[in-house]
Amino acid sequence: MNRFYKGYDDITASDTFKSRMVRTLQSKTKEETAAKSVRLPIKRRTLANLIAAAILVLAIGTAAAATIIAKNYYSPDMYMMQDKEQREQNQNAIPDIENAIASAKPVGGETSVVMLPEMEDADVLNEWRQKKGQPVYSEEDWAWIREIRPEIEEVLVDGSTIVFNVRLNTDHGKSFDVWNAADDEQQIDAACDEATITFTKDGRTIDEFVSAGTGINPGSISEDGATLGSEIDMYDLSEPLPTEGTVHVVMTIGVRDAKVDDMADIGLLAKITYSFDFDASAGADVAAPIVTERPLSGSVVLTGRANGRDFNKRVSLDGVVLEETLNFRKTGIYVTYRVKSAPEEWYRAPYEPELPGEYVSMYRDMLLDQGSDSGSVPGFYVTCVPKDSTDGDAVIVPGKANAMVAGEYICILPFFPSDYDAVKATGYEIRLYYQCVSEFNGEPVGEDWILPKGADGYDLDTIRQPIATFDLIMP
Amino acid sequence: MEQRDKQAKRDREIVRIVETYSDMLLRIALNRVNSIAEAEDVVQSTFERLIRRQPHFADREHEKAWLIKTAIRICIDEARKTSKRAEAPLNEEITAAYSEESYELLDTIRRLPERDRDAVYLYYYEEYAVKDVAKLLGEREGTTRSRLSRARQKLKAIMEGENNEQVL
Repeated sequence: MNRFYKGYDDITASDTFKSRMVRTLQSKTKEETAAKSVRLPIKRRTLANLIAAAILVLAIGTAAAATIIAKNYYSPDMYMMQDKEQREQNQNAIPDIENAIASAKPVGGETSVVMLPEMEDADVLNEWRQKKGQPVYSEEDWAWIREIRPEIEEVLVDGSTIVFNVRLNTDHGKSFDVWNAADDEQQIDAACDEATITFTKDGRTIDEFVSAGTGINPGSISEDGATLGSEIDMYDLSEPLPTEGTVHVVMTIGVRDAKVDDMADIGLLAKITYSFDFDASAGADVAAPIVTERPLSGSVVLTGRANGRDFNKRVSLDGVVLEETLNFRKTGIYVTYRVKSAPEEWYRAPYEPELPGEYVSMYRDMLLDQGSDSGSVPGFYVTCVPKDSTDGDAVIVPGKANAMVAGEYICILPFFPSDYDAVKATGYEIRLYYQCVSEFNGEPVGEDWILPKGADGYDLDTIRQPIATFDLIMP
Repeated sequence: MEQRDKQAKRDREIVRIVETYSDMLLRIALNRVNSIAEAEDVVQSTFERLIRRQPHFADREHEKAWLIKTAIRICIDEARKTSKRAEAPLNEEITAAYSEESYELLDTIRRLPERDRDAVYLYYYEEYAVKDVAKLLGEREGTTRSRLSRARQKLKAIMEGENNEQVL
């Protein structure tokens, strides 16, 4: 690291802040002890639905809202956090998604287990066990792990991810309940450490090493096992997944002693290799995608921020072309926007010398920024409302933003194949909105407003400006 | 008794998390927000989200990456998506709290676009590889590479313009 960046060394949180933080967080966990992790996903869903309900009712009326409410904020990983039985019990099951899951028809394969003594670095691992105050590995204590029987339960392919649940069958299921286990009980955790997927395409066999987000679903832990939920992100695949044939998945499940370390490899007790196959057609679109070029026109006032100062600037949208792709999937309608082309000036120097940056990084990023997990991105909103609705200014978040690729904005509209007829009859449209600063300390601001230097303790209000409206064309 | 043990375990875990990550998260936040108070709010929100969501991590690197991504998201959401913003003068506060060297660094870094600041911090200070920075920022490796290259040129120009020594 060069000397310049050493300046960060002195930027540290004060002891006072850390103490306050510890007290605050500890107090929060005490308050929430009753609402254990098991119920968290359901609580979040309930809250999300309540918020969505309020907004939806504003925008499209009570009756229409009721039909969509259970589907709003749908995302594949959250859906799969509950097993089939839980989904039905909680009335969260969506028939189209259940069909998508059923169509994957997963078949379990072989299992092999390597226990700690058989690992190359067994001595090092045992040393770490002792350093962490734990006895060296003994077969007597841990032989039961060898008997864990993984079983693929469900696979959901949503076009960009493969979400799958593997049940780890064992008589020691409660040992996975690390958060609630007593100190004298065994505490283990499991995660998919490595995964490869293999498929055949155009007569070629393609092996892909993939990364997987993974963890034990807290609500699944019982005496007879626990469910390991994993999610493979397919944005980085060298070849798109086929929509026919079989996909073969091999996963290595790391089983760790949480008393040593439930996250790092020094806690490893065993590596379980398990494979399963699923039907690739589960990921097939239900209709051909629709790709449309959407030229924008006119101009909008955009708010940017540079040098710690906000500024408004009217920017022409003439010549900006978005490419809109609608993918019709069993898991919803995926709407993707990309900036296909933009005028040369978007790539030129900043409009004011004291504001660094280029149009391309300021304005294109603002139009199609990414990184939010709440259904919208800074400055840019997609709404989906009944055609010609005059209530559209209330932002309704029609699904989950899923922006994994720079320059792309992906939104999942919660319309499933069985909704298509009704949606077509109602007629929906997609609206693009932009957000900009409208007031500074209670006073309206103009188009060329710039935050005064040294401004202190002020309030900004923002408005949303519609950019364009497009018909949602159903298959 | 058992309940007490569990709470004690949680308490220890919170101390570990706060001790390990507070400084890093504060630096990330200060690259984007304008005051120490705002930065501390970002750190607190990040920890609260961790406690509330209880994500499972494959290892400590995974945990760290999750916290970085969450802090950046909170900065973005708070500063640009919400309808109200508060700004405090950076100069006096930072000068009083940290060294002159730190102030100069923040003052310089903050002339870059916000996303470039994240990339620069993660690459040069946290010493993540380009591919890992790309993953953390949710963008392609090539994008991060050009972002870093562009940021380096800008920082160099700024520092040369101010007659500083060429340290980049």
